[in-house]
Amino acid sequence: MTVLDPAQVGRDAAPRRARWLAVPLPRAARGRPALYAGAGLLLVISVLCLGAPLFTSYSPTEIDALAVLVTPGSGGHLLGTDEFGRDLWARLLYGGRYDLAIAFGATTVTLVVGTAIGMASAYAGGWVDAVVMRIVDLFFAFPFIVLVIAIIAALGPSLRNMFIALWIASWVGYARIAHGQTSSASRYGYVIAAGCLGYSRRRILVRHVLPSVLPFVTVFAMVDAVGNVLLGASLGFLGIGIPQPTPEWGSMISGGQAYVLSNWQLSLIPGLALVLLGVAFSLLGDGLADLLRAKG
Amino acid sequence: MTSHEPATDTLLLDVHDLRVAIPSDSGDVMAADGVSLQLRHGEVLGVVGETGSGKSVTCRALLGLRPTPQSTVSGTVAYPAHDVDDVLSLPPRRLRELWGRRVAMIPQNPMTSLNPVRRIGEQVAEAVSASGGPTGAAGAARVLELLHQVGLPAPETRLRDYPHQFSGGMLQRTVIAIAIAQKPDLIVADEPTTALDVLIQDQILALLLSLQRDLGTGLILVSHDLSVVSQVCDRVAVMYAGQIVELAETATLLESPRHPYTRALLGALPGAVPRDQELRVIPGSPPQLVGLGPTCRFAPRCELHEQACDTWPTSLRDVGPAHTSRCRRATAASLPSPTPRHQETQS
Amino acid sequence: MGSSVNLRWSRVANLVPVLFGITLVSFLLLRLVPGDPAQQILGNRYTPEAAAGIRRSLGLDQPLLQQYWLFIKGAMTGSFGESYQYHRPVGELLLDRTGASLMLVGLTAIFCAALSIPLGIWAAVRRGGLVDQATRVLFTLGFALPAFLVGIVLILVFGLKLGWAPIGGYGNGVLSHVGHLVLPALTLAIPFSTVLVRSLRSSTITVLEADFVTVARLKGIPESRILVRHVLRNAIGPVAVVFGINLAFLVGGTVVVENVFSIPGLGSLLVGAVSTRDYPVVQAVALVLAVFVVLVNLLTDVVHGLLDPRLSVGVQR
Repeated sequence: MTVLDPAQVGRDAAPRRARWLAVPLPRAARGRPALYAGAGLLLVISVLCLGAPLFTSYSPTEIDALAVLVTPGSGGHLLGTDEFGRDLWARLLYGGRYDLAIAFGATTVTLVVGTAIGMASAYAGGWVDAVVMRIVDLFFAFPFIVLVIAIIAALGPSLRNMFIALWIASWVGYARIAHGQTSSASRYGYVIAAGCLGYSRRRILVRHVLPSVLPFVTVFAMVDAVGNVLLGASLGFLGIGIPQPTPEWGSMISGGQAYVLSNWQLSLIPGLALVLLGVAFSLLGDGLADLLRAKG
Repeated sequence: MTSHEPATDTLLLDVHDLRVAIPSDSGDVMAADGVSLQLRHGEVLGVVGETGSGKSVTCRALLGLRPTPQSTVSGTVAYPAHDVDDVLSLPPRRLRELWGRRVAMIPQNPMTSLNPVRRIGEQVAEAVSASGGPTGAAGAARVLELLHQVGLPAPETRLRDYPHQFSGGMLQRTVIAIAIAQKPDLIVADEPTTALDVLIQDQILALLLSLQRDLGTGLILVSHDLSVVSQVCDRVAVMYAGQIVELAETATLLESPRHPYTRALLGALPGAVPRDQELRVIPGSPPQLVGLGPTCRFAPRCELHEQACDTWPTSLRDVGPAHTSRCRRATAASLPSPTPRHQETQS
Repeated sequence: MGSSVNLRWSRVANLVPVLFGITLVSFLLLRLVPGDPAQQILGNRYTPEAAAGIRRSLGLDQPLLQQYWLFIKGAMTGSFGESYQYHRPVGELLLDRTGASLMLVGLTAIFCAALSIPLGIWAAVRRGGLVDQATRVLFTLGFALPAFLVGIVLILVFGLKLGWAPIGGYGNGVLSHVGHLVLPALTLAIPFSTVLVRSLRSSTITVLEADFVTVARLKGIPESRILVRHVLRNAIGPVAVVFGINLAFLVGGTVVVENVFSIPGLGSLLVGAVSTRDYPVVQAVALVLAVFVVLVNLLTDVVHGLLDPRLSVGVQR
């Protein structure tokens, strides 16, 4: 469950040109435990999942009728097996690829598109801006997951359609933040000065306004990534995300629910993995926000 | 200490070496740094200083209030008449008793001194009924009496109003009504007129003083305005950078200041200087209250500054009858005038 | 005071375009269906006659504007067509399912208040204490805590191991309903409360530093009464705003939780309708949930206004 208010993210940071983006991250991260911990955790999860064949010899989808519900640590299965005899550790590693794909795939696209729409709308002003922002407001009236489910219902459940639904439903957060930052940045001296110098609107937007918008949307993107991961997993859990038998953490949790009394690890281990991935992005977001506050 | 301190039997308040340290990122802010003073029953003491001199924090500490939960307060604040040896180490129950019956405070901004979501009548009634005061009809009558006493027009009709429906002056009158509800022995008024319109300021000050006289209450009037304080106070303490730099009876202080900071404050008063001369401003700004040593804190801005001042630990010394000063160069006879050459370099 | 009443009415007037927009989005959802919706619905049972019938019942044979008009007219009268899965009017289905969802949200709100008010104030009064530290950690974690995982853990511990509460279903009769909804409501309330606790903590700290609290303390009244009579009512306003902002997420959470606990509410209706391509049901549920969020937000504003006599509308602090 994601609970947040896009308007609040990075609120404390002063809206000014962000030099931190130009600073190499490791140097900037010095003395910032949240940033380091988040980045480290994300790195470990990514290496484990992307390099899954290096860490397990089992296939995530191979059914073994002779090794059903094996307890963890026995029969050569590190975390045991599920009700079809599939190795849980292998499913965990391979399944994480999908959750990582949702985190990055859904988030980066909406980050770029939403930010562009928000900035363009604010800079256009007038009725265009009014209409765009009313549309954004409308999207916020719908519970996010309901909107995504409804879009998936219309398009039909599949991995591709899940991404499309996430893209359609979640660009609005970025648009709102980018809009707010652009509107306020446009009132700052250096932007007005750039206008007086006769620079083109596009050049002002990209060279002068974007740097003050980017930090805010970047911090929000970390929060949004947590939300997208959880939403993807929720859809998997509800059986309308990535179709079976593809392993995905949410659907694994759902599959294990029936065996929760005897084999709780089937649900709780993928659940733990999901929480860790979420915490990684949360810490990353906290760290970036701190960094912004310090630089601002 | 002074040789002319007030007789102990009539002492209301006896403060010794009060220190308030507020932790901050750059170190402990010493908002009060060794403040000692005494107050007789029914006396009016003015505490004057610039913003950030620690006068407000100091005076709140006299009531046992800390600026933040993290700050440390040391020294002793005794109320001899009430058998309170040190308000700073009083158990919560006795502190509440003292607050309810003996002392009161009037904060600077009346707009934030009353609870915005409770009715005026309720808030005054709460002060009346606390500490076993009257409730019900008797309480209601007392509330009206108090509001009449502070000159709130037609109080019967305003009991059910909320604070936002009141003007600043009316709010401050209500706060004063709450303060005098239990006929306290001490009222600390922290710049009670600063946030008000100029015309209202005089009315509120006059009201406060007439109530003080009628009730025989001790009053500590905190202000950054020496002209206000000099009109109404028996004695005046001048604070600079968390310390009292001069303490004297009002007339003495005005006529023969024994600290260059006091003299500079007086010189900056409109009306204190002949019309054809310019008002003098004090160059520089007060120091941050972090990591200050025992030497004179006014030295960087002082027109009487000498090299010897930089190594001389200051303390309040007697410079006359009931008159103390921290200045190294102050004597019972005089405070030197600045040399003309020095003045030129200043301008 | 007169102007504040006017402002509140203007809030209500603002609702009209929002509600209008919600119907538009719900209506357009069906237009997202690739190809012929009738064919999608019928699948291998496709015959030209059946398809024509479905097109007629969905109004697809009419011009777009006409279709939208029919949709709005239907929505106003609670008629959303017929469910293909249940072969019943969608309006009836909604009526059947709304009770459970409303009760779940209501119980969740009660649990949220019961958890966050004492914890939030405690964390503020004892800053840096155990409760403060613990809620801080939970807040970071709560962000990343999926509702269904919390639900499964609660089922495991309180349902299966301890046997204190039913692990699913809805039961019969109000008392039984409440009993069945305890774990689901806790599932929603725990992560949500982490946010409310932190928000109440910070607003309480702000209020505790206000002059009027000092004035009240100097009246000599006990600290507990200060907290209840002077602090809480001022501190709760900003929390109500946070609650309103995050309400949509809470309602979204019910969709998942209803499925974890097999509760016959709107959320499970919605999810069931996805795989059966029951488009009218999807449209109607999305519409109803969005309208619910908007209306409760308005209610939050009104309550906030009642709590704070200075406020005519929205937040001004």
